[in-house]
Amino acid sequence: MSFVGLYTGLTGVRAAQVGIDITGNNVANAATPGYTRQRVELAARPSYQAPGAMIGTGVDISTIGRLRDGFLDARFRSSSADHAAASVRSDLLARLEHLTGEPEQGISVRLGRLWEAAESWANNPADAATRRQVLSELSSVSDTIRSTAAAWDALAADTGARRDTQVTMANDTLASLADLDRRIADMNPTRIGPELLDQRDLLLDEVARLTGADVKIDENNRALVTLPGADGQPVDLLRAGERQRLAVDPAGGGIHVAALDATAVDPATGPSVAVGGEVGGLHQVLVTDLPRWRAELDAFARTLADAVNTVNAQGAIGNGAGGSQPGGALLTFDAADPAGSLRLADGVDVASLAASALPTGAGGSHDPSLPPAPHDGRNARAFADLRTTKIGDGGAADPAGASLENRFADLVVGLAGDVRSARATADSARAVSVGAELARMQEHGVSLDEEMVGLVRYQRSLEAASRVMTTVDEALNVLVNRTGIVGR
Amino acid sequence: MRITSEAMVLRSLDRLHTRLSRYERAQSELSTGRRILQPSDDPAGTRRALSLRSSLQAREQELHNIDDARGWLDTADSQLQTVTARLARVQELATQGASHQNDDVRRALASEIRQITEELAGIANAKHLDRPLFGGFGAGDPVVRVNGTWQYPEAGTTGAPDQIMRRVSDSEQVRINVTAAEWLGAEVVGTDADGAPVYGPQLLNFLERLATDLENGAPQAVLSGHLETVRTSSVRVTDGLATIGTATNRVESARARALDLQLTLRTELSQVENVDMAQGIMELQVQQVAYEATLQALGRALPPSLVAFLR
Repeated sequence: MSFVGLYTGLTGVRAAQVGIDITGNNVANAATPGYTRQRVELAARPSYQAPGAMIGTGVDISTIGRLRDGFLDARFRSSSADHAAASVRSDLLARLEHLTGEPEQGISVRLGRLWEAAESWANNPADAATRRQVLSELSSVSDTIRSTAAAWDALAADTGARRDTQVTMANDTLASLADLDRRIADMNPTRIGPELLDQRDLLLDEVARLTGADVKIDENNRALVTLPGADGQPVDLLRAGERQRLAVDPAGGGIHVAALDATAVDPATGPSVAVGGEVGGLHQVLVTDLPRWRAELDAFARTLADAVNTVNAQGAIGNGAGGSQPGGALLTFDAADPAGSLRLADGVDVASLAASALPTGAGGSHDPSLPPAPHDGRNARAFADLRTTKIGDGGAADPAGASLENRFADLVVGLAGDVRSARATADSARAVSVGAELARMQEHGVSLDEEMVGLVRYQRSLEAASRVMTTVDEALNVLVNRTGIVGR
Repeated sequence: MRITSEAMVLRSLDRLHTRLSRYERAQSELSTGRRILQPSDDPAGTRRALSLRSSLQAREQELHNIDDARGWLDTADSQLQTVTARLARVQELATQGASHQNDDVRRALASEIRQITEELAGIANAKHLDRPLFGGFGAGDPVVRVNGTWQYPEAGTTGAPDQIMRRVSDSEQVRINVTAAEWLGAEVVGTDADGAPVYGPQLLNFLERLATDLENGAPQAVLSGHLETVRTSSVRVTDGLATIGTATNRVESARARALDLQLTLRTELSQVENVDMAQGIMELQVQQVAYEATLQALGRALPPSLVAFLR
């Protein structure tokens, strides 16, 4: 019997106290984002040689473990980047679709009204009211196309601004990460608080979500952020404390990695990289999806204008001198931006609509001295037939082409198909990402029940260790004070 | 598997979100009555709905066209029926004139024929909805009297007749007019300033000649020849009537078809676009119950823990 037993009890009390503190910290941080649960690692102290046996000397607190699984982190980070990219694309395409107003208030409805008006006009070609109706529907169709194009352009501008903001945000996050990483590197390894590591992991999560970059902690406990370059070789964004930044090339529209001190004017000097995550999703929509559908709308606007103008040119209008001439262009557009500039041509009025066929003279060809027959609605009928007439890309009738109505339906349905597949991709990416997050949370997160059990265990352990001390104390008391007083 | 409170919250939120969005979807489908709210809900269905709707619009317009065509055809028909009756009377009068030699009687007959001529000219110039019924593409009167001779003032009366068409189905157009020249006939009545022939309505000018011949006491042979001309004129009018009748039949059967198609298209469109009400209500109910159950399950599952139990 010696004081060793007392000391053994003390180590038990200390270990239990630390256990309770750590448990308390876990419980307090149960809802803290990025918190990794901690656990006291205990180890038995070395034994000493007592007469007859090796006797242990209590317990040591070896470490406070941070229960983090790098594999789960990597899985979560890549799936969250995929999810961010897919959901951004799905949202943007859905907004693009929403802006068409189909099937209730879009261009298809206005087109239907235009053909109705044209048919009434064909039935009553000389009537100013039916002609006015055709003109107003024609202008309504072009207004709708123009406003759809304008809304799409505004969405593209928004998306561009949003991408640039996210690029800035990614650079800021990278700066915070580099800063924190340096502080961690400068520290004595034994004195690094787990909360700093949690913080760094959180920033790595954010960088991965924003850019889809490959992030990890290297063997020197430094953060490493790389992006795949154009040739497939990884390009460093952050390695051993050396930080670069992302920059959008204003001319080419690509995303590059540029040195921190490079001027904003020429980011293209840095290598071009394949960016994923939210920035990548926005960028992809901006350079592929939006221009593609805008071009489809342009093509439709151009074909509509060409078809209407071609039909009008096949009919006759008065030439002001009592004779007739072919009808002029009704719709006009700027070739650089057909959908955004489609409108009624200058000076078009009810007299510009060519209802009748070109009057022919003795030779069977158009005789400009003959006036258009007032009740001849043959060309107006051809106009109304544009509803189903198959036309080529130049606007002239072409049996191998498609009707205006089908062309527009193809556009709407094509876009809808894209939206649908983008949504499906986003949904499955979301499921994967939520699954990965769950798996990580199950590993890294705090379970209150578990902590309660731990608390009870440490409490009991503390009580028992105290008891050991009391017992040893009492035993020593007997030895010190009561020994040798037998019979007194 | 280790369950942590954070994971439980995340998963619960995820489930709630899924449930709520399904509930919302069922609710908006039912409140709009439509299955396709955005084209992306069902791209193939949207394609069908767009084409069905446009077909439906076309059928509606055709029904308008058919009503309009019926107006034209009925008016032309009743006018030409009158012409047939008048020509029968002319035949009667001409036969009488050929047998009666009394000048007073003949003058009376001639005067009635002149009246009929005026009436036929009136019919030829009749209007429907403010447009010359028998005028083809022209806007003015089809026949006018110049210096006692009936003429066609509009150009083009001698070539192919102006055909006014109405579309009555996707692939079918029906002619709804006959021109004055078709049932009055045409003959050269003079030349214009450029030396080109001027045409006039053969029947009207013939009736004028018949009246004059009756007044002037023309010989029996001439009058008998005129009787033959009246008969050929009647045939022309009957041809016109037949054209109108055939068109009326086609328009009628087109109307039946259009009405039939309209019904079919409406049914199909509704099948593509609309929510089956009974099913929609059931779906909403199911989603509501599911959502409430999820809420309740969460309400029961989240608060209790060892913390609460140990208290």
